[in-house]
Amino acid sequence: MEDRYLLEKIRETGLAMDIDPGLKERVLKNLARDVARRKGFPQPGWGQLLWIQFSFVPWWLWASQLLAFGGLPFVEFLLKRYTAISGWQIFPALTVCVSAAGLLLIRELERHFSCRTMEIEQSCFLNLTQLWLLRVCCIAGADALALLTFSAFRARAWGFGFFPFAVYVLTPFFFSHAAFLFLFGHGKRGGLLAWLGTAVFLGACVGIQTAFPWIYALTWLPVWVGLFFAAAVCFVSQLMALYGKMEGEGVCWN
Amino acid sequence: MLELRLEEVTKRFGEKIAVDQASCRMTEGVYGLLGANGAGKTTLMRLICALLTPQSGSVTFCGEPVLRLGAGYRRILGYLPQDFGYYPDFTAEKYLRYLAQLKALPASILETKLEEIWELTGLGEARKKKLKTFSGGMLRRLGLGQAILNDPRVLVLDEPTSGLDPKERIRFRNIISAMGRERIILLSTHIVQDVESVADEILLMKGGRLSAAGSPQQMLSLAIGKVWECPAEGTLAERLMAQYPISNIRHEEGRLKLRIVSGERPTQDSVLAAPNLEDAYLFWQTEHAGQMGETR
Repeated sequence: MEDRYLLEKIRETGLAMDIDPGLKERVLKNLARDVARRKGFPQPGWGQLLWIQFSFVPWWLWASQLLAFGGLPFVEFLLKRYTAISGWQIFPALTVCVSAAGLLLIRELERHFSCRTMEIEQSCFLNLTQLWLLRVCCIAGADALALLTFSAFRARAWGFGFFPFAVYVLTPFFFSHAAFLFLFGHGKRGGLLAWLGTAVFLGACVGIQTAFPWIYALTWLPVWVGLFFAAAVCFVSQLMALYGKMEGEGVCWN
Repeated sequence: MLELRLEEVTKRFGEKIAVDQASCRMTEGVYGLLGANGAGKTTLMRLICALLTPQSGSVTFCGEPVLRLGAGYRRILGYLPQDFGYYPDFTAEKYLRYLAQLKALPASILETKLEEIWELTGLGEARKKKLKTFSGGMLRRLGLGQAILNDPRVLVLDEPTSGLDPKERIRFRNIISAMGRERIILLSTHIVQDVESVADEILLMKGGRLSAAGSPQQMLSLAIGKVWECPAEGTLAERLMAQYPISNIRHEEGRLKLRIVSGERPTQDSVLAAPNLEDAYLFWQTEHAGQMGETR
């Protein structure tokens, strides 16, 4: 009853109103423009985004990652069988293995450039930098999980608890990945001084661990935990830099 | 109504100005962007695709800057770059499925869309073949296929016919003509015939400046009374070639016949000829840049 009363009132007022045809046309045009711009599309979910990563990452990358990490027990076996190393002496070999995994990941990111697909990919809804971010997260995440699993099973054999062993192994893993991402990102774009400075710093972080393995034994664990967090921060910052900087001239092929 | 607007867009690479204060307004239709190599066409297209950020000016779609629209703009954008890259080990089908995922195409319409693209591009039989076995023409057709996969409102094609044989070029033009006019299609080329039959409007670019636009008929009208056919031999031919822009030279009855684009009669025995778009383009390039007025 109330609705009908209101409708009648609106109609009466509407009929009495002077309609500005110009304004009406502008309003209708704006409506049409907004409808055209917001043509309905569903948003892809996280599941779909992950599926893209897993379904289109080339087989050789998974195979080589498997080889790098599947090789860890094999390397460990060889070291145990043919050398007399023990305790912290295993870490340099592990550092080399985890760094190799990072190199393979960078090779995969570089493929967009070598195949010159980056311009098309950058123009898509899920653009190249987002694609890279997801890809690095997926692959590095899978690698970190593999390292944690390895640590859980093998830490005791080398006289360590799970936590210190995992921290010792994951620190060079993140440092090396950060270094590779930096070299990859700034190799495409960036100042020479910043490039050299950061490359030397990150390289030293990995290299010192490999060249002077006794540091593992001498350094107090909380310091390593601090280093681990520093490495993780370096890795995340390089990931964000890659996401933020790889635009424009960086992806346009000439 | 769709509207893509460029306002005073400038893009520099170091000292070089690639696009210099380009302004235009595009609504639904096919636009041909003509210009010599190095005129700034590719940079302009990358700016329109939001791949590059201009130093000054703005590119807006329906009133919103494309850089701010971000993913929302990329969703309605189709782009075929000049240098079309592909993964050689992907099959055509895998490549399109991959890009369909990146374009967030709903799975419910993907199969229908793929079928449409196979039919439009004529690549249905080659869908299972690896891209490294594709010819240049097949790759360009696949490139167009990926650009229209998401039924884009803005379709940007950068030199889509470069390196194609005449048959493939005609095929390509037919595909573009068949795509309908409910979107903005921008097609860049340095080959005039490529836009002659398909473009509703022509944009001209020279030295980074988007200096003129008009329909093909408007462009043609510019050159009416300016195209001459002139028989010449020996030193006269040499002098004319040095003095005037020549759109064509052919041998006829043992003599050279020059097609000259000029506002004045080159020789007494020159006769006026009906201009074609190539003549009009040459005329604009050499003498009358900037005379054709603003874009609509």
